[in-house]
Amino acid sequence: MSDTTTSVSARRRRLSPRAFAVLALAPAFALVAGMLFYPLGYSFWLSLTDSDGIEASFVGLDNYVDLLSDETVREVLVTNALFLISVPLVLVGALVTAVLMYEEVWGHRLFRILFFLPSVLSTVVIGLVFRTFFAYDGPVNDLLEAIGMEPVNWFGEGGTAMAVIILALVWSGFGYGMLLLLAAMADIDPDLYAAARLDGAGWWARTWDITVPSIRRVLVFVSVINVSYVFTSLFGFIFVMTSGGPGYSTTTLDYLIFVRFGDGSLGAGSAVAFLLFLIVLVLTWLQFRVFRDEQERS
Amino acid sequence: MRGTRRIALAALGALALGAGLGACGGGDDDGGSTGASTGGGGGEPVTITFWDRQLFGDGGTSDRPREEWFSTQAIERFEEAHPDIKVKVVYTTGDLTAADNQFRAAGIAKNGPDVATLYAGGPTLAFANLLQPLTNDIGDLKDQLTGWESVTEDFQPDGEILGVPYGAGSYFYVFYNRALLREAGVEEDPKPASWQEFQALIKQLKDAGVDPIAIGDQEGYEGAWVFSALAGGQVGTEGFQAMRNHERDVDDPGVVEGWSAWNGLYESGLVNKDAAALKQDEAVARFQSGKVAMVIGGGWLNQQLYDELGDDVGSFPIPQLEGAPFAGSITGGPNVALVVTKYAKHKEQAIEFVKFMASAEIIDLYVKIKQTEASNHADADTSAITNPLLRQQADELKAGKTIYPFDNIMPGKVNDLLYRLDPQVLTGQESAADAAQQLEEANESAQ
Repeated sequence: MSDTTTSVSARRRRLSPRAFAVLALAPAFALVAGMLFYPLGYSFWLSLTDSDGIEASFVGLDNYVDLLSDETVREVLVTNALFLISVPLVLVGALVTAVLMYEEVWGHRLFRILFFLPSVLSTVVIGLVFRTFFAYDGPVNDLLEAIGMEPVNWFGEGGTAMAVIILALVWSGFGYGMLLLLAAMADIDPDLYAAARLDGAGWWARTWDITVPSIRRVLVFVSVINVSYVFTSLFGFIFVMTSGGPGYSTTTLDYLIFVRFGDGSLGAGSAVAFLLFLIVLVLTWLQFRVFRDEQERS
Repeated sequence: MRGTRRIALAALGALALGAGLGACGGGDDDGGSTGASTGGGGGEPVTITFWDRQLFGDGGTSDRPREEWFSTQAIERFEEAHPDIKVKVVYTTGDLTAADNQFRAAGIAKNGPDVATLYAGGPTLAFANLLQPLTNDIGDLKDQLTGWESVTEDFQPDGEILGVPYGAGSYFYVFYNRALLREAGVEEDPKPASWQEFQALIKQLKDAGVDPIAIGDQEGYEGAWVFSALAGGQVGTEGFQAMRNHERDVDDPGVVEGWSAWNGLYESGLVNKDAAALKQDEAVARFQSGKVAMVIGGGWLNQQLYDELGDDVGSFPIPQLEGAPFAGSITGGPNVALVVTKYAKHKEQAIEFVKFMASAEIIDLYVKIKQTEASNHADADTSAITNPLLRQQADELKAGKTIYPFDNIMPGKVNDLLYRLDPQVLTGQESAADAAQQLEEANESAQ
């Protein structure tokens, strides 16, 4: 055995498992600290200042107090909450299509690709497609007129503009959920379905009593990421389709951050960003908590 | 995972953008603004970085090849005259908010450009902390150029000069298609003296079966131009400046009256129903394709529309309300400013570049190529104007009074709210009085 080999072996022996674990995790920790904790801390610090990014003066919690009394923020929070309607729609869409794919209905291979396709498209592309389709002189209104209905000014009213965005959100989101649920269904023992059939269970009973409980964890996961998505990732849709309007009726918290940063209010914008972070954190925790309690009860 | 994946991708994208802008802004080994070379001393040439928000370039606004862009040609001339200085140009987005965000972010990181184009007026003054005062550096330029009030700190005559005004200014116009006007049997070169006459013209076209006008106010920009014309007709530039200085309320009865007229046009049912949902460039596209007879825009559309419609296109200024104190004014003003950043690594060379760009010869080149605005130089060559629209507009400006736009004067916070509220005022979802009151509150909080 050469001296070099001996030396390496000796070092390996000296390195305790704990030290090795710390060393192995260090790069990842550094990355997370640099990319997550530092920006988070800096953002929190900014939220305590009146800053345009160049100069900052400490104002304590003033930005947060202003947030609570700001009518716009309240309106935007309600808007964000309304966008949550998309989450159950995505879940139902993903579940129904996943079950159909699992049961290998006619054309399931093609549909699996078609349903997943929107998930790989950019939100900007999807936004532009929906904007074109729902334009006042677009194909959807052409269709309505063809069947004798009045054209709708989809993006001219808050309610209809929001409905179009939700539709785009569901259309682009359910395919990915479907794929996750389908993967989870692959782990269900087929004998369970065979036994259920023997007992006379129909399609609905099999889905509700076997499929859903078996994929509950993945359902929670799909739900969590979609709730988080609604709060943090609608920017692309909003920017392309409505610019947050009319008024603030389709402005979400992430879009409001953009607006506040745009007018140079970095302190106020950071306060909104931190509020958003807290909301997503609490909602995620709540969802895991509710599903865990349910699981324990069952 | 989908959300996580997208967030990760967004983060990577942001990193890449940051890295890209960082590379553009400085720190590059090939002589970027933080390069070790000094230039001017017989060594390697110094490279200054110039960010242009498509005010000198033509990205997205024309099919002109890049070598024919004004920016390309002007920089070529500069580098010929200054062999020890190279200019690296970076074209940022032309969108006001997005471009401002990029400039601000780069300023915070101090990795932005040495020189940049900004929108003159409030948008330039808002970056006062990032800009190198040029008061003592511009020499004779102060006497040769007009428009200094748009780049002077707080619009005060004795304030620091934060940039160099470029061009005689962009003004707001209603463009019309003569062929469609002829088809409707109306005067093919109308000159409505008031908003009421303008509305009557729209009605005439509509009655004749011609789609009269496309309004695209989703972003609120078009509404802001009309707001400046109508409210400005009531209070004038001085009124807007008094509002900025908190000496006059933004919810002045004149402002409310002017803004209400905008809503009145929509309520008349004469304009497109999707006016508040249509983007401005989509409205222009409808006009360019000959679907509608008129569109509201500005001098920056001169060449684009002339290229498309030829002699069929004409323009008149957005009119004010009948009997308004400032009726007959043309709304607009200095729109482009060339600035040097405080953090520029090569300030001396950057200032040299700005002075070269502001020479009569180079501004003439700007006018000749862009045809969007006349020169603001005392020694301008008027033959540089070849576009009939611009020629007519320049003649009108010589004789007319002007109103400097509200959003070139007011702070960003007020402007952003104006852009947001305007589509709602247009369609009546918000009353002009309530909206003006909100602007006043925003202005108070910006104090």
